[in-house]
Amino acid sequence: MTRELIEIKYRVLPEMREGVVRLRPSSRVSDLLKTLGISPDSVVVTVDGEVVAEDYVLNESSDVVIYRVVSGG
Amino acid sequence: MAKCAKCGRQAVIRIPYARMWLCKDHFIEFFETRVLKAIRRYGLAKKGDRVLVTVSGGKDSAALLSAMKRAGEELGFGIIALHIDLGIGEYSRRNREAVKRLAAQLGTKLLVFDVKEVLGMSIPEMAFMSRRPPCSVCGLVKRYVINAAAVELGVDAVALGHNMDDMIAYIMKAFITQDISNIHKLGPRTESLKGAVGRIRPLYDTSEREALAYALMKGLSFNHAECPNAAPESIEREVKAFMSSLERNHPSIKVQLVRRFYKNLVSGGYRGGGETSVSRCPVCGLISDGGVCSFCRLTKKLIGRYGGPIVREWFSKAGKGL
Repeated sequence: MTRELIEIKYRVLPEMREGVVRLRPSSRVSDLLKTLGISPDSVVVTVDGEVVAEDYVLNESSDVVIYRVVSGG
Repeated sequence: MAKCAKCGRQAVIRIPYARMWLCKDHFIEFFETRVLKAIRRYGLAKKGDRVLVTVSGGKDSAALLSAMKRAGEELGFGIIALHIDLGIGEYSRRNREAVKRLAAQLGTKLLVFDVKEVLGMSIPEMAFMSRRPPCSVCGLVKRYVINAAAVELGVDAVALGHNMDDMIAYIMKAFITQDISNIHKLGPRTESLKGAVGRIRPLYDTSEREALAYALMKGLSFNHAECPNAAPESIEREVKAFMSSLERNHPSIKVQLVRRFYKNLVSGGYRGGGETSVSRCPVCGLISDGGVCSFCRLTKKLIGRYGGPIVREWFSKAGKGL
């Protein structure tokens, strides 16, 4: 039995890239990053404008922004 | 879900080298305390000092300005923010707007030096006309303008937004390229000399990721963008990636590296034959490697006039309004 997947929309800064991934219900930020091949220590993630930890549980209404740790120059 | 080590509320960040999770409020406190401790540990600023804080518009300098304001209130020193508008198109416009909002947010005095307005040419124009890489011209101009501002405003130190990851990248690059004679400049502070005000790096003990998380949690105004001229394959960038993977398996190796490097610096471990001669530019009177300084030479070639006295005069007038 496979449960229905949920769609998580995300944006990545500073590239201004966005996308949608399908994950299992109750997936965490760490699952999203793993799916995208991003190391958790190279980013800070906000959901609905607030910084969240890797174990934060996502849902379809989550507004996810992944800030890559980069230098401005 | 992970809980905050201080209060048991829901944690929002993990500090790997301290082996703890923290909530938003306790992370903000952790970051500001860490900067305060660095200021004390390395003797970066003291009561009654005036510190010029350079603010680019990015996350590091936003975090720096906010944490320095807090530290200044605690330790009794004053701060003035300086932003240099480099004239790099939309990138510079956004940075300038972000800095203005940040200064208003924090209630700090802000000076904006517009390179094109004062010298008649933006950084990309200077790079094109001098046939030099933009980063080389940008570095030269920024270093000169910051120092001229510090001298004219009579401040005690210039605070830079270099974080622990930046410093490790510079230190490793100095070893890789064997630029050992300049390695003594990579500590948390450099001493003031005649014609040059000392630099301090209050974020020396804090990582780049922590600075970003702090800026986001505090809701600070910053422009999260890379300079369009930034080299995609620089040594610094590759060193940062390598050190991050090392840190993953050996938590705290980065903070140990910068602290041990500092210990070696103060015990004279990097002194051997590394002294560079310092003289003053006969045109502008500021620090030079010998003869007319590189900034005065560059501006004479590009705009037909020595830029040093022009920049100094600009800050001399601007400083009177502070």
